[in-house]
Amino acid sequence: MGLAKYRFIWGPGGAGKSHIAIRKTVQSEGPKLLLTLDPSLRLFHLFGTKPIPGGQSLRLAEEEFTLRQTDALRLFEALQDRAPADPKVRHYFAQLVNGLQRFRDYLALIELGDEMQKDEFKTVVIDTPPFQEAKAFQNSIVNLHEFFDRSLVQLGLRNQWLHVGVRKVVEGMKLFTGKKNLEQSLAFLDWLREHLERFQCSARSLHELLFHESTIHTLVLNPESSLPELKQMEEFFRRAKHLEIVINRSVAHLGPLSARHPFFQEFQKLQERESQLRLQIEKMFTAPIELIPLAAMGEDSREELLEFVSIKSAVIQSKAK
Amino acid sequence: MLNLFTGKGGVGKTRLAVLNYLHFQGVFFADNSATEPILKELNAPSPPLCAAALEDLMSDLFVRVLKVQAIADWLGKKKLLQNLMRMAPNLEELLILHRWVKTAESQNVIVDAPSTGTFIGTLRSVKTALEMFDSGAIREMAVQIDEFFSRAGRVQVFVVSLPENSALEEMREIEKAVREIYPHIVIHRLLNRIHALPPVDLDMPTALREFCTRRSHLEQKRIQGVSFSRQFAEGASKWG
Repeated sequence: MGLAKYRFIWGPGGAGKSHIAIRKTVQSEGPKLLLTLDPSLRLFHLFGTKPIPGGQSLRLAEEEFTLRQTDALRLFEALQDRAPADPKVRHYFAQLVNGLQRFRDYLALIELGDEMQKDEFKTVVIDTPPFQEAKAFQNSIVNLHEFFDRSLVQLGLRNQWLHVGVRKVVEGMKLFTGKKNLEQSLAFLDWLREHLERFQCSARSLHELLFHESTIHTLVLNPESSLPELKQMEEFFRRAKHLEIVINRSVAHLGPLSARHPFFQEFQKLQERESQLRLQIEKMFTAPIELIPLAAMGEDSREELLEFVSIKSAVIQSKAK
Repeated sequence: MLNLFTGKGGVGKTRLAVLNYLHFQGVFFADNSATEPILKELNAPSPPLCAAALEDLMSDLFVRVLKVQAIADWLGKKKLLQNLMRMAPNLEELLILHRWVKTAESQNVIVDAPSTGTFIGTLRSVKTALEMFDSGAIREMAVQIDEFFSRAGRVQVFVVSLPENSALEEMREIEKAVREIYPHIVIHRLLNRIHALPPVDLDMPTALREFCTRRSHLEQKRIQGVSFSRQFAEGASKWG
C-alpha cells in the first residue's frame, strides 16, 4: 500500500453522499483524487460535466482535484493489450458489465486496487453507490479476496482437471441458458483463467486497504435515515478501524421548537428522528459525529456547491455504550 | 396490475408505495427494513411482505426444467449452482421480474422498486435476455415477462420526484427509458415533499423563516411547467 490516505464515503440514497464526497475532497490535502464507484453520473452532473477516460482536473473553492469514474470496459481494454480476447468474450464481458451488478462491482474494485499501486495522489476520496444498492456492493468488497482465492471459479480456473469438471457442469446448464450463451460463457471462463493472478493481486491489496488503520470510512446519514437499514450495515462499519459519521441536513441547531402550530411539525418530527438516530449511533459506534446544518438545496448550481463546502459544522464524539 | 414505484434514491419511493398499498391492498414486494419505520409512524399493521430470496427465485427457474418442485427447491439452495447461474448476465433481475409478473397475473401487485439506474437496468434485462439466450428456460421466462410488459393496461410505473433539480432530472431519465423499452406502460409522476410558505403571522426564529421561505420559492420555481398526477406534502400519511 502506498502513502495516500483513502476515504470511503458510504450512505443511503439521497443522504447527500456526493456533496459530502466533494466537501471532504476540497478539505483534504493535495494532490487529490475523487473517484466514484457509483454507476450513476451524479458527481459529474454536479460539476456540469461528463466522465472523461483517465479523469479530469476540476477546481472548486480554490482547490484543485481530479475527478474520475471507474470504467470496467477500460479495464478490459488494458487486459486486451496483454492477451487479446476472442470477440465472443468481448461481447460477453460487455453484457456482464451492463447486466450484472455484482460483476460490475468486482471490476470497479479491481480498478481501485490498481489505483493504489500507482501512488499518484496524496488523498483518494471514494464515492460509493447508495446503501440500497450497496448491500451487495459491500458484500462484494469484503468477499472479493475470497472470490478470487477460494471460489468455485478459482478452483475451476487454477486446476486443469477441475477446469474440465467445471466446463462439464457449465455444459449441463445448456438447458437453462441455450447454446449461444453457453459458448460465450465457456470462452469467458477461459479468458478469466488467463488473468486470474492479476485479479487476485488487486483483490488482496484492496482487502488490506479496506480495514487498514489509515483508511477512513465516512458514513453519511440525515435525520430521516432508516434505523433498521443502519443496523444492517453495522457489522461492516464495526470492522472499520477509522469511522466518521456525518449527519447531513441536521436540525439540531434550530433549538427547541415547542410551538404547537402545524407548520412546526415537520421540524419537530425531524428533531425527534435525529435524536433517535444519534442515540442509535451512540449504541453502535465509537466515532466523531459531524453535524452539517440544514440548508435550502436542490439547485445543483456551482454557487450552491460552493456554499455547501464552506458550511460550518459542529463535531461531537460518540462512544459506543 | 403491476404497480412499480421508482425514482432517485431518497425521494420517498417506499413511503408512497406503502401509502398506495394501504389504500388499494394487494401483494406488496418491499424490503422490510425500509418499510418498518414508515408503518410504525403511520400506526399501520405490517403487510405480509414478499422479499424474494435468490434461492426461491432459483427454484422458479429450476422447476421449469426439472418439473418437480421439491428437487427444484433443493437445487435452488445449492451455492454451487447459484454461483454458476450468476454467470448468466441479468439473471437475478430477470428472476425478480418474473416473480412480480407471475403474481400480477392474478393479483394487484405493488413493488417498492430500485432507484433510477438499477430500475432501468432491470427493465432492460428482459430485452438483453431475449437477445442473448436463443433457447432454454431463461429465454422462456424472458418471453413471458416481455409479453406481460408489452400488453397495454398491465403495468403502471409511478415515478416519484422531489422538487429538486437532480430528482426531476432522474424522473425524466426514467420516463425516457420506460417509453423506449415498453411504450405501453402507463407512467404517473408523483411529486413528494412539497413545502408551503410559512404563515406570515406565525412567530418563528428568523433563520428558520428565511430557510422555509427560500425553500418554498425555489421549489415552486423548479416545478413550474411540470405536471404531476399527484402531489404529497412532507410526511404525507394518506394516498387519497
